[in-house]
This record gives sequence, structure tokens and C-alpha cells, in this order.
Amino acid sequence: MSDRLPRLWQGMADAYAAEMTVAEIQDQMRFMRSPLGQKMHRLLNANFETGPLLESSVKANLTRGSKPDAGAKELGAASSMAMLYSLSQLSDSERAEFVAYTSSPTGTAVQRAGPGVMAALLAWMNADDPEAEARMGKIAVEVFEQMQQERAGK
Amino acid sequence: MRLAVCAFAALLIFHGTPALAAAPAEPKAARPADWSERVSQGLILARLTQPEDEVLSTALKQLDDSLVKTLAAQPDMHKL
Repeated sequence: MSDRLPRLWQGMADAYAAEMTVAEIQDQMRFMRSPLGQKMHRLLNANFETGPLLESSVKANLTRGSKPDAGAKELGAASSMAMLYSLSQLSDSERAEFVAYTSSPTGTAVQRAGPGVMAALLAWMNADDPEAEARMGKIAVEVFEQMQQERAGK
Repeated sequence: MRLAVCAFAALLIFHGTPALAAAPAEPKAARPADWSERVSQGLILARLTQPEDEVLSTALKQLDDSLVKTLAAQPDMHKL
């Protein structure tokens, strides 16, 4: 997956560039490095429910010719719920600070970039990558063989 | 299974629900003069938002947490 990450980063960068000025992008980086930004990042990750998205991805994989936006609904729902849970875990002052930031010019610019970033993420998620899938399949076979050997050794 | 499964680790501050079906960000008719600088800074922001080590570790953990539960919930899996 690390081989594929630069493609995701590039898609995200294009989405940011389409909606944000250099100053706004730098502002957002400052926010993300702030204590509140780091806390929100941590909370959002912790509160993100992956089950429905995982299920959608498994189904999409079973259905050849799946749509390029497969998982969009699940990703959106999981993101919204993660945001709500995360906001509820902030103190009153942190929540006020966060809301003020989202209403700032940089905060609104980030929100404008949001749909493009999500689209880049979905495109990355749904991109066919036969080589990577073949590698993953090889690993799965090796793990299975190792399990069989361990079982035979018992 | 698609590697895409692992992408759920992506959590983008503010990148909530609206317009999920929107097409990928299309280049505007006339790109701003500082487009290259924007993309360059955007790449740094993207890496900050989705750092490699965090994406990998979160993806593996969430696979571990969710995969069995998700598969077990599939009716067809029980038939098999």
C-alpha cells in the first residue's frame, strides 16, 4: 500500500490546490500541528467505523465492473459519525475553538476542497491494481501454508 | 481483496458528507498563476493528513478489528 500512497497524496494535493490559496494551505498545516488539530485528528481516527466501508469494499471486489464511486455513501456516513463523536469528546472551549476555525476563511476553504479530496480518496480506493492484488494473494497463500505446517507439527 | 479496503484509515478533518458523488476535482478553466506552489504545498498537507506510518498501522489494526466481524455478518458466508 505504501507504493500506492503517493497517488493518493497527489490527488489530494490537486483538490487542495483547486480550492485553497497557498496561505490557506499553510494555515491548515499550522492548525493540524496545533494541539487541537492533533487531538481532532486522533479522535477522528479513533471514531471512524470501518465495518460498513469494509463490507462495501468486499462486495465491490466481488462484483466485477463495480462503480468507481463504490463506498462513497459508507465513507460519507462514517466520516460524519466520526466527526460528531469527536466533537462530543472535545471540551466546551476546544469545541468553540474548532467551530471558530471552521468558520474562518481557511476553514471554509478546506470545506470547499472536501468533495474533491473525498473524490480523490474514492478514486484511489477503487482503482484496480492487479499487481498489488496478486502480491496480496501470494502473501495469503504463504500464510495459509504456514498455518498448515504449524497444524501438521502439532 | 482490494487494497482499497485499507483506505478507510483516511480521515480528513472537515471532509464530511456533502457532494460525495461529485466528480474528482477538475482543473479549473484557468489555473491560478501559483498553481505549482499550491500543489507543492498541497502535497505537504496531504502527507500530513495521511502520513504513511499512520495509514499503514491504522489500516492493519482496523482490518484486524473489522474483517472477521464483517465476513461473519455476510449471509452467504454462513451458507458456505
